[in-house]
Amino acid sequence: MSSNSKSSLQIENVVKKFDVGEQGIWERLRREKRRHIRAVDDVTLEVAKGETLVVLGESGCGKTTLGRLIVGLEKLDGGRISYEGSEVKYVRDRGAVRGRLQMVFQDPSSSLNPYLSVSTCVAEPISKMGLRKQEVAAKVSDALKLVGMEFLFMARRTSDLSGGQKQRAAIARALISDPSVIVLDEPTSSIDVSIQAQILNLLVELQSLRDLTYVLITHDPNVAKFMADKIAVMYLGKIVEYGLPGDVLKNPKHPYTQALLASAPKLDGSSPEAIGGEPPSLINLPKGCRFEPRCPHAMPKCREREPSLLSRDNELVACYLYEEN
Amino acid sequence: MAGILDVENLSVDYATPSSVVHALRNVSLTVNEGEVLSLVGESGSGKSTFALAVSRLLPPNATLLKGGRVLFRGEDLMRLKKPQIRQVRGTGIFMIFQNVFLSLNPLMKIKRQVTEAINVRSKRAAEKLDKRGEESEVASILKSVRIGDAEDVMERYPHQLSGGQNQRIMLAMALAEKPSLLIADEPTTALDVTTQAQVLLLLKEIREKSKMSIIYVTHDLAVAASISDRIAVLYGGMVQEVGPARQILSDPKHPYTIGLIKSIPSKAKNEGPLEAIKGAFSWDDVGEVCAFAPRCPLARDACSKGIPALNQLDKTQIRCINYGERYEQ
Repeated sequence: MSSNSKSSLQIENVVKKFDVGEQGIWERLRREKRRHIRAVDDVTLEVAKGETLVVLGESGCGKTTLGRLIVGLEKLDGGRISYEGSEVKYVRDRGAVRGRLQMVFQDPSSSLNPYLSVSTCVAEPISKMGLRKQEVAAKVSDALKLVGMEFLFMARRTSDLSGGQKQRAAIARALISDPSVIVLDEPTSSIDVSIQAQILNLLVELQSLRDLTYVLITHDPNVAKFMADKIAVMYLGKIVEYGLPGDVLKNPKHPYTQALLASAPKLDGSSPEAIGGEPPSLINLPKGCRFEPRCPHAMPKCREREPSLLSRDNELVACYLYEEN
Repeated sequence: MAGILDVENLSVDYATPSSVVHALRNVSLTVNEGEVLSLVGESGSGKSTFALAVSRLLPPNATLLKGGRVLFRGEDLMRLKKPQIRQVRGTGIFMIFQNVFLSLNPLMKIKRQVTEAINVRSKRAAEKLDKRGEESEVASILKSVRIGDAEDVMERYPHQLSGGQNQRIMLAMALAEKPSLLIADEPTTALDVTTQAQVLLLLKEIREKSKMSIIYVTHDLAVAASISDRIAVLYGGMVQEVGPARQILSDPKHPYTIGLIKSIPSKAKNEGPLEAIKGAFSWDDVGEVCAFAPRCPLARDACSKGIPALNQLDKTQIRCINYGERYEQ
């Protein structure tokens, strides 16, 4: 992922740790070290302006944490995230860039306050900018128009909206501060199938209209295929494969990507293929490759040392199968 | 054709503070011996209500309308009293839900919960089982749902296991009771894709081995495709299309089914927008008309003349006037 002039978002060696377990007075007196997990472990990625990077993975792989780090909702424990050259800081720190980076969350029913009207919710990101009432109202109606909601909705409470309308309102809220990067965390997974396509079409339309850069977090290979310019596959905090959707989805290299795609049920009625086991806990990670306990191609080497992300035919893959000797 | 389950004209209303919602309207479906029938639909389609009604687990604000019958092996479940229903549950009809953490007792070790299920069966079948026999059966059942270290898992509580493992424990309990009908309400929706594939394969295997009939409730057509013999597509509390799975997936007839299949992303964004179904489901559209008409690309005036009747076309039934302009009485 060499630096290029068009790049909008740069994620370099990013690490996020979370403390686990309890630390009572006894542990403190004995000065026991806190145990922690690395939810995001040394992730380096780059997204070009106006493009969509899809982060594909299962629950617990750290994809949501990565999304929250990008918009500054979590504090970094290592590495650097920069957007158009300037560093992204934790939201509570001084001098944090606000508004240019926005996030749309998975479940709009819990990300929108049910007691507020649609217009109050949508106006939230610009409410502290010292704008006059009419200016705010104009911006709200523009944002709602962009997502295909009539102004009739403005006065309604968000709890009265349907799932699809709520997600539209959430997208409008993300758009109102005129951001250039939007992190979309599973934007359609809590919405009915018949509405999903509408929302995906809307996101693509908005992207070309506003030259938006997206980081889309999903577990669904179909959504990934439609939205992605680049795909990063994540497993237990690490990127295991990165490349163009045509390569990663059609011709997956990493055994985990292969397993993930083979597990997805298909409309032709063919039986999904299952790999054994479940992801190991982040607390007791295997010493070598994280996928080794479930991998059908595991070699003795995989148990000893973690493979690093190496370039291979237009892609980056972290697997010894593709290491040149 | 009498199946293991024959549902005739099942209608359910929910009373809400402001109005009455017609959650199910005259649903008639048959499940044959050893068959997997999937109910596919979005929220509000009535798919879960159907599953709950068949197992007589509807919430208190629901009313079953007169005229509906649910014949399980020829016996009308709607007429049974509570103690008799309990005799059917478990060994007759077994139900698993989306949220396994709510179905398993958090204060009981896995061993005791599975043993309970075994006991129910052995009591009803008048088998004699001693303590040791029970324990070895728990272990062998857990192994048959691919729980590797069964002896270890037996001694644990549900919260110490993952969602996928817990869902497999539920399946193990189903296996222990040997029901003739398993109703699974979105059992893999909360699971990861790789775990979902494991559970789906397991269900297929169970069904082949034990000839259990399964009603599989899901919102995901692709999941239904991978497991079912027949598919019923529900919308607005009514069956819109029902028939052999292969036929419905490869040659859907109802505009809603066609729309659902088309809206699953299968291309990249630079190849043009997805063919989405317009609008959204609303209870206001459900009445004496076609509930899908407001969103239908083929809608015309005749769609609001009444509720379209089911038209038989080959082995499929379609509730759409484009296949015969007939209406429900």
